[in-house]
Amino acid sequence: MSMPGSLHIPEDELIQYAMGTLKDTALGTMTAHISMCNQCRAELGRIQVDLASFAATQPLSDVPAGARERFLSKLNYDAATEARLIRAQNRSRVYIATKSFQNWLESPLPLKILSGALAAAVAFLAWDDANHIHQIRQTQPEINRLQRDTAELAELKNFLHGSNVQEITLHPKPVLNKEPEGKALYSAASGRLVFTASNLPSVPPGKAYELWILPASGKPPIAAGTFTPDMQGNAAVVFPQIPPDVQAGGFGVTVENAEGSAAPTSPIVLSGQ
Amino acid sequence: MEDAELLQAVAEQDQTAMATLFDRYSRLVYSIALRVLREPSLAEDVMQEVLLQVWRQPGGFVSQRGSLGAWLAVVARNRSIDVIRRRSHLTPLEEMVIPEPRNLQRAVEQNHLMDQVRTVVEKLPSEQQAPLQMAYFEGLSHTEISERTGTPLGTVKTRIRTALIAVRRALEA
Repeated sequence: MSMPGSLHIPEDELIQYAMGTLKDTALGTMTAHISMCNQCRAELGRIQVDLASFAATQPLSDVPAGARERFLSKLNYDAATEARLIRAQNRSRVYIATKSFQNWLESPLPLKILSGALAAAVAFLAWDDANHIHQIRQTQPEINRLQRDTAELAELKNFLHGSNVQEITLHPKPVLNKEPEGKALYSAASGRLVFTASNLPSVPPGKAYELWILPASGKPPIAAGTFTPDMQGNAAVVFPQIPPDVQAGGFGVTVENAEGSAAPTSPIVLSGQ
Repeated sequence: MEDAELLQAVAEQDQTAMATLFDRYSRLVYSIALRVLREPSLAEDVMQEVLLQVWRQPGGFVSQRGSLGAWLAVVARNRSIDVIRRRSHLTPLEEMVIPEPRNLQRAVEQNHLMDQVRTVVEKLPSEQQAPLQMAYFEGLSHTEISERTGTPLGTVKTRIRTALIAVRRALEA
């Protein structure tokens, strides 16, 4: 892979990346670069279109005899499993409603009133139950998202309490009036980085701060995410996509175009080792 | 019925819509799987798995992936390669980043465009078709193709690149 020498990934390697035929060792670095580089990402998108078109225009074969029936049978089984659950719920509701109504007909007036109220309550609960089931189904994507968020938070917590994490404080260079400060927590082994900053002045429209890892090997800086401060001048970069096993000699922050740069183009405003 | 309407019906568990979707895409999915796996029973397994995924998670296809046809073509190929890779304990393709294939829909849904691409692909010299097919349908790296065919690595790269350029020109024509 020849990224360090040139700014972008060669087309041949992007083609292999798109096909998934690269060796595992090259994948991480390339994925990190693609996630940061608009040009490579766009070219990869074009290659994927080319490949999808190539795939979709291959000669078609007929599916094996009976494949449609086998598929529909699986479909039926899938649908039947859910339908069985719904039917069981419905049957229990119908049974309760019927029994309540019979009891109501056969009972004396005071009990009729009471059992009528009970039946109404049961009917309401059944309706409410169905409503809740519907609501729960509607919220399933949100539950999935929250589960993912929880997993990420757990990972973040483990990282912050990890023993093999470097902690670096970044100071202004040159010294600015509002004393901006940054703090980076970095694990080279896992390629995980959390950066927080405070007292940062706002950036001009179309610009953003960009965080850089300065490799100890002296290789070019590795982009580790763009960010803009909030009204109080606070900002954070959590788990940017960066390659693992990069020993950091230091960290720096520059002001770049909002979409990020492949290499720093302006003076360092914060740095730390 | 358009794909979006079909998927909406599938999301409402309409089995007739799913059967229509099967009729529309099963040959494409099966053909790609068969091309990779070369075993009809395995290819059918992949086809059923891919299409059942549409049945179970129709939203996953609609919201993020653009055209269903293009998505299915790519997924069928990747799933099939994964079947082969599971045997050799290699990295599954689905863990890879697939950034923003936003033009897939336009590219694959326009039939006349696809006819142009098909014509170009059919006319590709065999020395260009073969390495592209080995890479795409067999999941071989450029180096592996070079070793297997005895062709210099640089030549393999050039031929694959040239073939893809031809596809792109047909798409842009």
